[in-house]
Amino acid sequence: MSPGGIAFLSWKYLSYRPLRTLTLVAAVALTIYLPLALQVFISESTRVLRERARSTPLLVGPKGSSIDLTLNSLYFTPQELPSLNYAAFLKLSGQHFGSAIPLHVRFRAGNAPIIGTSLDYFRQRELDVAEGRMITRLGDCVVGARLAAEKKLKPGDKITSSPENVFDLAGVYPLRMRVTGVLAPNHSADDNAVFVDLKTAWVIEGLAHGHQDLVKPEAAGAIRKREGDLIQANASVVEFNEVTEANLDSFHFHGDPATYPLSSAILVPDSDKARALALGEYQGESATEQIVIPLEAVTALTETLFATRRLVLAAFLLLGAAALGLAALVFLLSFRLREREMRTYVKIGATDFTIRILKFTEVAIVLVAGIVLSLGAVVVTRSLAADLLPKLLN
Amino acid sequence: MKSRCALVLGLGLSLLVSCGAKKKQTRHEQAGHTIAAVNYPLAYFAERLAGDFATIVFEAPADEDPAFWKPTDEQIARIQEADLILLNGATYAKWAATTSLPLASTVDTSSSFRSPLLEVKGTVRHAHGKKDTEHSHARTAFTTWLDLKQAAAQARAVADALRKNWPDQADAVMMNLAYLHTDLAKIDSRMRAATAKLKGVPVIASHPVYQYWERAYGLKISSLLWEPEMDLNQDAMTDLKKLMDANPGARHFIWEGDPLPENIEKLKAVGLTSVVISPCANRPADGDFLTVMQRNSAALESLPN
Amino acid sequence: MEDHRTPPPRPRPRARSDSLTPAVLLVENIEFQYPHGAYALRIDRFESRAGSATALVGPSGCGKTTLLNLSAGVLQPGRGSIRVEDTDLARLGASARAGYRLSHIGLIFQEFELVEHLTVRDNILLPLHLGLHTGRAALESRARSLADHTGIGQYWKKRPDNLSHGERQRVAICRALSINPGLILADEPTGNLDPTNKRVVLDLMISFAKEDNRALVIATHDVELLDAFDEVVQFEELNRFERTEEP
Repeated sequence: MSPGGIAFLSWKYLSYRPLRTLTLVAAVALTIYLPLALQVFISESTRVLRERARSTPLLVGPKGSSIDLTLNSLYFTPQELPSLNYAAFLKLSGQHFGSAIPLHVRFRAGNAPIIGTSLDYFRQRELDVAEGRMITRLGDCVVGARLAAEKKLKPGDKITSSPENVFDLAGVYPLRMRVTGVLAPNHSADDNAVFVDLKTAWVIEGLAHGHQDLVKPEAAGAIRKREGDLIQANASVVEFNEVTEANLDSFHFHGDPATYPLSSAILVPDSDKARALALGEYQGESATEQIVIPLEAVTALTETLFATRRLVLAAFLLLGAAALGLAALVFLLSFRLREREMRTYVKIGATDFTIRILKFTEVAIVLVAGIVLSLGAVVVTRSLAADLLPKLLN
Repeated sequence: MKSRCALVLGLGLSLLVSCGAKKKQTRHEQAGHTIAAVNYPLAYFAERLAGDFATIVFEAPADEDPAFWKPTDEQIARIQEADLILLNGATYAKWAATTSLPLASTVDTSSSFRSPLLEVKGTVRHAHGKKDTEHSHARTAFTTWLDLKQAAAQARAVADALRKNWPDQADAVMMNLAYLHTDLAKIDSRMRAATAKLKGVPVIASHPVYQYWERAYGLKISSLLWEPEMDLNQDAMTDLKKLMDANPGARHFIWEGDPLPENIEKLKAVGLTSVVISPCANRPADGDFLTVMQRNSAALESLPN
Repeated sequence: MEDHRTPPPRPRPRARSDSLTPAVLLVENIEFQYPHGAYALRIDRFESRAGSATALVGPSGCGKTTLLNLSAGVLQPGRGSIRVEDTDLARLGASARAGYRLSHIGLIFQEFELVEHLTVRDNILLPLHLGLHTGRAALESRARSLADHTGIGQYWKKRPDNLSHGERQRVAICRALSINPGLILADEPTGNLDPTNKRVVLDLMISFAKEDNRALVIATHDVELLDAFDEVVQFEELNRFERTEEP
């Protein structure tokens, strides 16, 4: 028997029927890949979730579902809970438990979440600017690496916030923001987000705006009435939907800043003692906000994932068994149809053992190709899984 | 044999530790601790308290009022990088309200004031939209340090931030604060004595920047919007006359900076003696914050009773 | 299908074997019966000498193929000996017989028995792929030479499904001859060919056999071709088994 010759003959037959061979390889590959990919995805998701949660020591937010709060703050999922007000954030900062980092996660620019926060967020997340520079003023934004690549954004470009409701003209209106920088990849939800100063988020919310100076003559048409030092403007007053160097000074806030909304605040305690004190303060019955340990919330979430995984795995294994059974049937039928060919080999001088090895080699080539393909796909899945989860959550 | 191994191991470990310690020391030395301040008084306090271990960054050009200075994006980026950013509070430095600064390293030095902040009178208010209630974009008076007790409170706020950021320097900072407080108290006493002659008498000022100084020393000041180097034309003199008519008995006119000699003469002609009380918002050409305050006191002391 | 590339007929060489020429194939006193009992053979003696072309004649189903299979070592007799050159195939196990067949016996079939998914080249080199222990380069050179000689060299890299029956049988002949066998066994090789190709293919096989002093045994029921053979053996006279006889 010539191993090289057997391999050659096997390969020649398989390549003569490429579609059939590829289908068999794909069936084998899928049978192996799907359960492995599920395992990889869940383990990577768990790792990514836990890593993100670990780097977020504590979250303070409005009362409600701790998982919703965690997902909204860590993965920028749509906000389900009511807002936290700025007064609560100032109170938290004033309690000196550690650094308090505000988060405003309500608005979107297309599919990308707009995160209103402070510069401390980038230090906490170890997010550096890869291109351009950090935000400096109202109306500035930096974008995550993946978002920049997708939308081909670079420093100097503009990106506009999406209106929440196109029919509510008096509501949140679009703000055209200046992209000052592109962040380095972080393999987290940050890669798909637009980051602005908290004050810019409030501009989008309509709590601040800029308009023509009502004192100047060109604004005369926008004045409804003037009594002494009070000027009442009418609806025609021109409001700016973009912050520029020229109109920056005209931007101002309305109402009581204490009532301005946030989604939550990340609290980075200075010490274990400070952490314990913060937990004590906000876990009490009388607390008006909740404090969440993200790692605990994520652990609860991943346990749900594990339970789901078992079910899905069982389904995949059943499907896989069916696919392999079909593949085996295809091989058996194929060998039966090729009996004459095998008899020719025997007549020319192949032993029965050679024929068995030939058949085995054909099956082995398909199996090995399927295994290699599936393992390669698993490797690719592993590298993509970490980036896939934030997209799915969004 | 075992003891020899332990010795070698111990020596190796101690070598590693000392190298690490040495590296740490080098890093500290080369750390480049920076403190950014929005005005000169805060920069001065920071220099007094932390000049030994930190670099003080104060970017406003010498010929600009830091309250209205607009930093470039590059300057803002440098300020953002500072380990500590000292804000005056009281809406000082409008650029700070529209700029992104790291909250964790930003200190509002007037947030702990016991007395309320003062509003600048006579500014235009506006409202827009039927739902919108009338609100004022009136400015808050922001030259808080001219009340030297408030200056001392701001210096304390700076010291507290320094101790929090660099606990190993706490003792030095507190000692420096004690010296600074002593200096400020001395000047406050001198200023109190020097302003006694202005009490009960209306005073006219070239600019509305003396609100806290007015409150601290029990004065009554009415302000114009004059620059020291401006030409006092007919309109300006008319405005002055109106103010003098509204404040009969006013004998003194306070300038922010050295006025033109002809302006001094014009005021003298209407019965007003000029005196320079520098708010010292920016770095002086010579001397420092204390010498400027000393000069202010001296200028008042030189006024006839 | 008419073959336009048929090489010119070669002159029929004279028979070279005689009683002094050694027998390449010698079948003696064999008995064979299929397990299902359908056929039985009892042959006292059958031989084919080097350089001779022997026709094994008989109606379809008389047992010619069985005798060829026994001679090739595909089947094993119940008793007796089947000597090919110096090797008694009847004494060998199945693997040994297969190995011997692979390297010493060239086989040609009525249905050509080409492998459709292999090229002409790989069909001819099939013994090599199945484990023939020989120099690859030499075998490939010989195979190419045979292909060119038989007029199918131009199809070297093509699959057999593009070839005519005559061309396909020539591929099979090249495959059988590529191993340089001492014995060539052909079972109805002209059965699926048109009259022109029958003669061409037969002449080709006989000329190759005689040129290189090989023994050629062809089972055929085609009486029109018998004049080409040195010896014609009537199978029914050869097989001593009586159908009414119990083995």
